[in-house]
Amino acid sequence: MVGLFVRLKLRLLANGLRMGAAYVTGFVLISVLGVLAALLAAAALAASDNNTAVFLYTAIFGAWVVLPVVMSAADETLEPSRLLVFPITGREKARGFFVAAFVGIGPAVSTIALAGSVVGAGAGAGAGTGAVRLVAVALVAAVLELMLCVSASRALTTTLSGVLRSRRGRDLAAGAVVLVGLLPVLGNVLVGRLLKGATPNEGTARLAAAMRWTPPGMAAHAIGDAAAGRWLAVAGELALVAVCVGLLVACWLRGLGRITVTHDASSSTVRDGRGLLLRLGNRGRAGAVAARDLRYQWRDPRRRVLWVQVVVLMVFVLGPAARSSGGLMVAGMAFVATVLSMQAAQQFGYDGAAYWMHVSATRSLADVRSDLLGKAIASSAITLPLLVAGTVVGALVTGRTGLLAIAVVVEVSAFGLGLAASTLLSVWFPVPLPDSSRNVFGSVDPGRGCLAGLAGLGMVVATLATVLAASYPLVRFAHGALAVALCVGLLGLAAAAGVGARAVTARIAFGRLPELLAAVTPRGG
Amino acid sequence: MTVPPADGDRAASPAVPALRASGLWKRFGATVAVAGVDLVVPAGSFFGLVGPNGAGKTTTMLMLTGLLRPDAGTAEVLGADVWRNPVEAKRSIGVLPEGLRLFERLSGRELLQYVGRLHRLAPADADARAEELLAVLGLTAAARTLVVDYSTGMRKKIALASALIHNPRVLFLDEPFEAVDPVSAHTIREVLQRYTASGSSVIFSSHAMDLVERLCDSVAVMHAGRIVAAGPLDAVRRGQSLEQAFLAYVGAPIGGEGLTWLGSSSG
Repeated sequence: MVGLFVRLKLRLLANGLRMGAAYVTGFVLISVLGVLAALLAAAALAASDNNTAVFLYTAIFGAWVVLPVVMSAADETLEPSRLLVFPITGREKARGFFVAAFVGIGPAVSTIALAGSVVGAGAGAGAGTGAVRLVAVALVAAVLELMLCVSASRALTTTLSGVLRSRRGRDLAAGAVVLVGLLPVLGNVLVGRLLKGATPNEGTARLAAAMRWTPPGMAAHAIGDAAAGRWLAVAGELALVAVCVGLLVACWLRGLGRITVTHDASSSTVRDGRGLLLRLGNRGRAGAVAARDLRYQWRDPRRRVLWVQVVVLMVFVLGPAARSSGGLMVAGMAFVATVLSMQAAQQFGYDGAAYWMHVSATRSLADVRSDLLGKAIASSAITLPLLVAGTVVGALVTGRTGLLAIAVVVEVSAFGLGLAASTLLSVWFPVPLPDSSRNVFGSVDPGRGCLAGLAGLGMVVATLATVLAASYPLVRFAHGALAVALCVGLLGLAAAAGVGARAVTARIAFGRLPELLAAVTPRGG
Repeated sequence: MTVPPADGDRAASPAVPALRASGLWKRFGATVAVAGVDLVVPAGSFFGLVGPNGAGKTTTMLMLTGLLRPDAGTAEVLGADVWRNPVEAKRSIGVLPEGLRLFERLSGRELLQYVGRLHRLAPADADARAEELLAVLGLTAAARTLVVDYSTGMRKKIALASALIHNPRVLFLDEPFEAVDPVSAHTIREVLQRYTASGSSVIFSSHAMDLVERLCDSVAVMHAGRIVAAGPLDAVRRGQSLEQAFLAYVGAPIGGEGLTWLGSSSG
């Protein structure tokens, strides 16, 4: 049964690979990252620098936990509900899913990186029986680390999906946001206290000394302990990591079982429109599209993920940035704003197969322009105020009110430029989203998704470069009239980009409406 | 239901057919889904498109309504080319496609109001039409329930209402009666008959031969991407039942071989 699951997964991956060169390009790029990490690990361990190994293991773990949530990149290749009707016992299913979770690009790249630590440990030990034992420990540590990463990532996305889909999902989602948001704050405070008054070298050592007590840190530290001959510590550390893996796997499988058999009860009966939303909905086609999209941001579990992403990003980036120099804070804002503007790159994908309702009601270019305007309004209506509010609160808390005006201008322009670029991306690289996904963090069609992801990354970099180049003089030396002129120029640039992107996107979309519809319609969903 | 007055001068003269398709082709990779469909549907008809699964009915419907670009061929609705003159053509088209993918996280009422606004109806008009459609189709009680929680019959009805809200002259329905209970089917039938009685046209695809026989005045039989017979109902069925005629047109194989293991008498 396990073999069957693995073969199924491999077949699905291979089918994705056939979909295009972009997928292969993405795979090569991400493999290069893995090789670089492997070289770093090998070099560090060969030089008996266990701190770097601890950092590396923790970083890999962090990437596994954070990236699927922030990038909506959870592995959804195997959908448990599809297997409900087959006579497979829970045990077989659990084993099959667990093993199949290690087949994929993420695990492959992590394996490359972790292999570096095993090689490094061997190289550092020289020859003899001690070396064999050391390599054995490094191998076990690496395998445990990989299991830890995969199971933690799965447990988190599955549990969060369950929360966002539940009947009280809307209330609970707020709770989840606070919870997920608070963790990094806590970490931030702890790190702050830890590093107080330390030189960079001391800081690194203190940080590593703390991180080694986290599960991934323990796995890395076991290698160092083995090199030093502390075998009891090695056994203890590896056993603790193994227990963590077991707990996480249990948590994941339980969540999976529950999600498979529970109905998505996140919403049922709604009140008729009132107030602002009603008035917006009556303002022509653009208004109607905006009002509908805002309803979706609230009602669609997949769109609710955005709230989690906003909070996590703000805390992750703004927290540390607020403690550093003012310029870094402004750059952090620009980064967060750009990343958040990327939701617009999925604007056709969010409509998915229902987009035909727009296509069949689209007679002229003006209709598409209205749709784009409506979606831009909806994208900005919640994110932008949240962003500005976060900045104001951050500035008040840290007492950096001097840069507040500049920070707001920069982040608003970054959001505008990003929105313009994402709008273009949405029609250049339309990607389908899973239709009735059990996992709200899931993505479908890795081939096209990979290409779109790379394009999105390029867009973030280009937007950031533009905004930062323009804001550098603002932060460094501009005062008075020059600063005002620069601010106005930056905002004007963003506005012009938005208008231009809408015109171009509308023209492209209007020319290929059926193709766009086909591109965002999930197949076999 | 009071049928809203036609907008301006687009009331079709009988000479202009509701639909004229010529030489429609569609290929998906190596598979030819539709291999040259020619079809003329007179205005005011209740037209049935029948054919086995995979005959290309859905693909044809999508190409006729501007949702899928044909590789070759043209489609005109009331004289307006669907692909060259979408402003005119799409105003006349109402669609209920297969699969029923709707904006599921809107309530039934919100969905109709939304589609009305997409068609640029005045909000007050759109809302009034939505209420009437909900009432006629028996959906008023479920007006505030999200479409995602609707049953199949309710979904067909709300999709039909969405297709009707801008008062199109020609209605394209892909399998409107599939998986619908008799009560909902009856309601849908009544609305459609009232609609064609006012001079509008319905083109629908179906497997239910008795229903097609009962409702339609003209039919076309589709098989392997082509129209193998088309015309007034009596001309197509040639004195047999439509089902017998249909099986003859598509050359249904006679079963009986294989499957010896199937059934409780075997092991």
